[in-house]
Amino acid sequence: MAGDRAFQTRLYNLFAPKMMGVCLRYARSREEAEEILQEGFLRVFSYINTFKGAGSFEGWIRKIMVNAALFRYRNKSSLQPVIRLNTAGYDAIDNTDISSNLDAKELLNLVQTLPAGYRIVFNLYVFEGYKHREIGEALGISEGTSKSNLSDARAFLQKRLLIKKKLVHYK
Amino acid sequence: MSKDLHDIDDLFSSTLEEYKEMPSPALKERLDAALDKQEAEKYKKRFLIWKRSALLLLLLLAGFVLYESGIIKKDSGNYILNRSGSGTDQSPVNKKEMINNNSAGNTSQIDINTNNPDFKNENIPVSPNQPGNITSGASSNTGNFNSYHPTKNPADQQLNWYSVKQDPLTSVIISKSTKKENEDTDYGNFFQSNKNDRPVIDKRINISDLTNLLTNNILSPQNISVSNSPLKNGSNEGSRKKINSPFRPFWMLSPFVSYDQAGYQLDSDEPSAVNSIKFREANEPSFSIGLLLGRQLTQRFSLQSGIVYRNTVIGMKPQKTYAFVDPTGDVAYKYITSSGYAFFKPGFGPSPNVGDSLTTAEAKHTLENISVPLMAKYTIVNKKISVTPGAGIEANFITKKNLEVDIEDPFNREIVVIRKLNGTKPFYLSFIAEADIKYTINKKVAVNIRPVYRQAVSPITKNNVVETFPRSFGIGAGVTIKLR
Repeated sequence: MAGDRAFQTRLYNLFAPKMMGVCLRYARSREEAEEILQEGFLRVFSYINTFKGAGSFEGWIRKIMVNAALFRYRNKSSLQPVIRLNTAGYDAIDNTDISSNLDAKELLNLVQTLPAGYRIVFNLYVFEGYKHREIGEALGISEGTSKSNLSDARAFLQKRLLIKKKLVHYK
Repeated sequence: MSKDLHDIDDLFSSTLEEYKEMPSPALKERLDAALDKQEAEKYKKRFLIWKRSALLLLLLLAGFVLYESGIIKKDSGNYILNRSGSGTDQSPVNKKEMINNNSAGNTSQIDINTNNPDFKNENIPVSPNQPGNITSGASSNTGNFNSYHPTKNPADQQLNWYSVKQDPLTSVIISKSTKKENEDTDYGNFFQSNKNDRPVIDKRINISDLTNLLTNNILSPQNISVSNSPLKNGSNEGSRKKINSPFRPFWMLSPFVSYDQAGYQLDSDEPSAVNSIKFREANEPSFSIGLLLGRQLTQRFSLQSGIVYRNTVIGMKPQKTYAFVDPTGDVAYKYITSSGYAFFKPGFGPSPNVGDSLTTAEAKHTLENISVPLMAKYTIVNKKISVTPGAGIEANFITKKNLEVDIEDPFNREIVVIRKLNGTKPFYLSFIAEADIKYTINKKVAVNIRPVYRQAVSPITKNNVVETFPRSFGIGAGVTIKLR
């Protein structure tokens, strides 16, 4: 089954759109999300024989995608320590279509503008339901850093949402 | 504010949880290409063991062929009567008995009984000091030598024996030269075969008579006297022709110990990484010890293999290390060496975070490996001294990778011993060249000095910042014991 290309194609067509949504949240851009998705599907096809049926298959694939994203984050951030960001210093989002209501695409763009450390912690906490201790273990950071990053991420997003609402209102 | 923040969580969670977006079609193509590459790598790995096995078999086959060629040469040098009848038995014992010392140099006679059904070997010994008869039964009218009459008298084995070699046209009688005769030229050299085995052709024996006797029908037993005159040593140099003795291949055992000056060649796309490693690493004197087994196939050529233990030590200058996430998911400082990298955490201080740095003091890196060389060698002999240059390949198995890192801060000092290096291959191949200089003590033992150069032809690293090809120059000393 692992080497059946037709089966792999069917699996890809079935889960790729949903998993692309997951990867887009963890990535800074669409290109980066596609790289994570590709790496994730390679792992899925390689280890599909190890899926024992415990839990949903979609959940298993999603976990692989998240781990692929974390692996990428670890590698990229390994040269720099995680630093706290002053959320007051950020400018308005340039590429957001502020003339329309805040839909999923716009919210996704907002998440993608978060610095990597904030974005990963926000995703793990909000979407994956991780605790700060688990986030700390997964990313190799302290629990306090995880809490701080989440708090800063929320403040950053709130500020951006307020700006957007004001712009829409003025419009 | 807090409620707003949690509202943000809900807003994003509810909106993006089920968000779907189709990836670009190019991604599927890239994925297929990556899967193809993965399968190709699996395919390559699957045949790696076969490739290695094939290489090993090839080496063994080469050794076997060389060995066999030596055996063939040895056989061709035996002076035995060629087969002209239907006899097939050529006992090696009989072949050896065909040639014995001619210490007395006395008259020889031939005793051949072709009528004896027990004698089925075509080799014909010629025993001196015995009534030499050539007899033929009535039923034997072909003139071929199909019977061999070994002398049972032990005294004969101390005396002269002759063997007869027959070709389609004529027969020759060969006698052996005496040991005493050769003592003046025998240096007792390690590589020369025993001079006692050297045969000479004694032309004083009447070959035509013997040929006639052996090839014509002999209907009744009759005594044939080959020669009645005494054959004195050294009295017939003018008519005696020396024939090259058959070389008998032999084994050699050579234990040795060697002082090595090791080094390496570094390859990398990052020149800074190469320079950095070269700056902070310095090879210290190393050593190797081994037991080599050689097979002298001819007087000149030999094959040598064995087992060698090698210990290489590399000293490290202080360096700054950074914290990374290691393969287990833990955060630790990464220590990079020319032969791999290791993750470590000091026992003191807080656990590192990604990107933290730590400056280590000096460190010592030890590599141990077991090597199996296979070399072809050529011997140049000058009396008691011989020089044997050789070249070949060496299979190296890294058995131990040890890193001792000295870490200290104003309050603590600790030596961290790391026994696991990442990015190091367990096996690599080397080219090896050496010149074995031997001084022969006696026919069995020689002492030797052995300068050796080794250069890896495959790297010892994998997924490291540099590809490392170890090399070393060593001076070894040992003894070589000739085995039979």
